[in-house]
Amino acid sequence: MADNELQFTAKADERVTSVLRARYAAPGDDTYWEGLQTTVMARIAGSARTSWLQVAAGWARPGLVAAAAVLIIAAALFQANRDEIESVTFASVAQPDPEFIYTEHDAASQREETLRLVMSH
Amino acid sequence: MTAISGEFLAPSPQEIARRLEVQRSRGSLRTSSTERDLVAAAQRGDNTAFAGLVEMHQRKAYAIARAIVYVHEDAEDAVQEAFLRAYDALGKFRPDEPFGAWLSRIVANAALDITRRKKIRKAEELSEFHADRFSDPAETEELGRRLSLALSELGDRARAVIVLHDVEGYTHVEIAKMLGMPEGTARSDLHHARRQLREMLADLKES
Repeated sequence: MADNELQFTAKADERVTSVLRARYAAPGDDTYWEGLQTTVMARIAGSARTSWLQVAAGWARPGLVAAAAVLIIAAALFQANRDEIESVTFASVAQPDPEFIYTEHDAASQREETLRLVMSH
Repeated sequence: MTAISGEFLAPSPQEIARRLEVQRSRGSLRTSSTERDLVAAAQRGDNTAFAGLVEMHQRKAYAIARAIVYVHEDAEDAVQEAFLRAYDALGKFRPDEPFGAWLSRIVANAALDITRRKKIRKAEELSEFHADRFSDPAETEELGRRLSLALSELGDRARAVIVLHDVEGYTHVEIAKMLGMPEGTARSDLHHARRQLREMLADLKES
């Protein structure tokens, strides 16, 4: 191995360096840099919006579970209430209170009915 | 600490462009504020201050990224990604450190991530590299083609070192910090890269 390799003294080639400089030159137009700055800031704003959505998304699952639980409870209560109403309605139809049933009687039977009621007290 | 105090009220890209235009019309942020002021304001959640830091450092960031990736578009992506990472990590940045050096490491890492993801090894893909729209029109087609191939032969690290040193003028110490390597490695990489390029292009130079 040569000495210059051990000492890392390889010199830059002028022609290669000048071609490299041309190849790697940054855009010189100010408009380009203004555009890049705008793009960067827009991406930052976009990522901020995304983080907000991520926060919302994080709450979505527990929110859905809670909403489903509320719906199930509401449905169960509604069903129980409905069964109760139906049974009361059925009972009122199937077992009518005789005192409230209007029956057509002739005048004689009405008198007998009244007399029986008075006598019983 | 959060760098995004008003993140839920993030403005639209159009609004950002309008605000930056107003700011430019009033004069560049970087001439009216010191870097330290801008960093402190950005850490308090002032996005306009962060825009000032972007304006202040984007050219240098591009140069670092461009030295590491193959094409201009990847350098642009690396710069954007690096500023996003810097913004997210702003709370961890210590104000007594130089912001530029901290950002340079982030840019180098973002660019290295891109090169790892997009390994270009095929010669035909290098034609895209050669067709870089920012290349010097005076550059001969043959030299450009051969240089593209020679650079691809160098490997990512050696290519980054030679460009950062010979093109961008960074010292070995700075390059070593940026790329996360010992200074001696940066020095030896530069030496071998120069020698390798010289050998690969020797016949062309003689013609």
